[in-house]
Amino acid sequence: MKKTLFNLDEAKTVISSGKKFMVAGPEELLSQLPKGDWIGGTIPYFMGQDGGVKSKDLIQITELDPKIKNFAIKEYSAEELKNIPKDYFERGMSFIIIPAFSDPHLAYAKDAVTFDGIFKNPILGWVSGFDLDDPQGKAAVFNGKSGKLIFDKAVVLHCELDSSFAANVDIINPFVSDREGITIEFPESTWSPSKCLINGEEANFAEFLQKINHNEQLPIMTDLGDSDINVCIMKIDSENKKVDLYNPVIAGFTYYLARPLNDYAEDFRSQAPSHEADWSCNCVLNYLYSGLEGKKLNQLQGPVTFGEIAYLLLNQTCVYYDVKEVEALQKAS
Amino acid sequence: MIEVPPKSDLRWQQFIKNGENCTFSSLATKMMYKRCQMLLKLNPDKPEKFNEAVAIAHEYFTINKAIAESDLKIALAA
Repeated sequence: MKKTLFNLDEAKTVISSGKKFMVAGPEELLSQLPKGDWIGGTIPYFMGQDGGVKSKDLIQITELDPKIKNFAIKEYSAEELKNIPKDYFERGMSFIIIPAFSDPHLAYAKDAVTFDGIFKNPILGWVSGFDLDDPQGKAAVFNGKSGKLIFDKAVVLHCELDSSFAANVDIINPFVSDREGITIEFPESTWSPSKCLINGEEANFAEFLQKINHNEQLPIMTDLGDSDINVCIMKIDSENKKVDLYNPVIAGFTYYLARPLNDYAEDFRSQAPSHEADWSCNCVLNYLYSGLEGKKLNQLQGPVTFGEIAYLLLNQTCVYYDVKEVEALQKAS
Repeated sequence: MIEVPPKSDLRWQQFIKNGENCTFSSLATKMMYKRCQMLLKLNPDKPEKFNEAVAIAHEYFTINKAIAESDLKIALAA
C-alpha cells in the first residue's frame, strides 16, 4: 500500500514536490505546511497505510491523479456554493472540503441537490472536523495556494481531465433500509426535526424514536432507487422533544428505519473494494462503531470525517473514487 | 454508442414518471433521479417543474453519456 501518513518534516517535503494533493491533519500541523497546489481540512483521525489511527502528529497526504491536466482552487461561502457547478471544468471532477457545523456545511447539506448542474461532473470530498475529546474543537479548511486557514467557507479544487479519462465515484454503505416498514416524512429541511409524519400521521420524531427504543447507531435512510443514503442520529433530545442529526433531513424525501446489522465491521468490510482507490474518506461514526482503530478497511486510505460528499452530503458511509479510461468505465457499466 | 434523444422525445417523460424502479449502476444517475423526484414532489402544483426535471435528466445524460451509457439505456426503457 502507498504511504499516505507523514510526520510534519516528511509532509513538508512531499508538498514541496509541486504535485497536487488532498491533505488532512490537525490545524497546528497544516498551518506549518508550505504553500502549494493542495487543499486540506482539519481532522486527527485517519485510515492510513497501517489501518485506522488517531494522531495529532501526523498529516495525511494523497497525491491526486497525474492525469489531471489543469486545476483551480476556489473558496465558497454558504451563499456562493450554488456557483460551484458553474466553475466545473468541461470535463473533470471537483474535490470539496467543508468545515463541520459551519454555514456552508448546513447550506450544502440542505441545498446541494438543487444546485444547477451539480451532477454534470463528479464532485466528492469531506467535512473536516476535530478531536471528539476536545469540547472546544473547531473545524477548518485550508487553501494551500494562499496558505489561508478558513472556518466559514468551503474550499474546492476543480480538476480538468483529458477527454479519454473520467472519474468514477462510489460509496460503501452497509445499511439497508426497511422499506416494508414505517415511512417517515418531515415538513421542513432541518438538522433538528421535531414534527414528522409517521406512516402519514402527525407525530413527534423524538417521542417516536424513544417509543420504538431505536438504536442510535442506526441511521434513518432515504432511498436512491436500489440503494440508500443515511441520516445519522447525534442525540435524541427528550427534554426539548427534538432529535439532533449529523446531517439534515430534507422535506420531500421519504425516510425509513435502517435494518440492524449482523456485524457492523464485517458488513462494512465486505462491501469495500479490494483495490487501492485513488482517494477515499470514511465517516467517524463508522470508525468508532466498527472499531477501525488499528484495523484496515481493505486497501482504502483517507481521512476519517464528519461527513462525506459524493455529489450530495452523506453520512456513515465511505466515499471513494478512481480515475479510469472512459473505455474501461463503459465496459464496466 | 447509443445516442441521447432530444428533450422532446416522449421517453424522457416516461423516465421521469416511471424511473423509480430502475436499477442504475452509477451513483450520479441515482442522485440525479432523486433530484428530479424531489423537484416534482415539492412542487405538485407547478407542471412546468416536470419539464425542468426532463431538462435535468437530458443534460445529465448528454454530458455523461460516455460513462452512463448503460443507465441511459435503462432510463429510455422505463
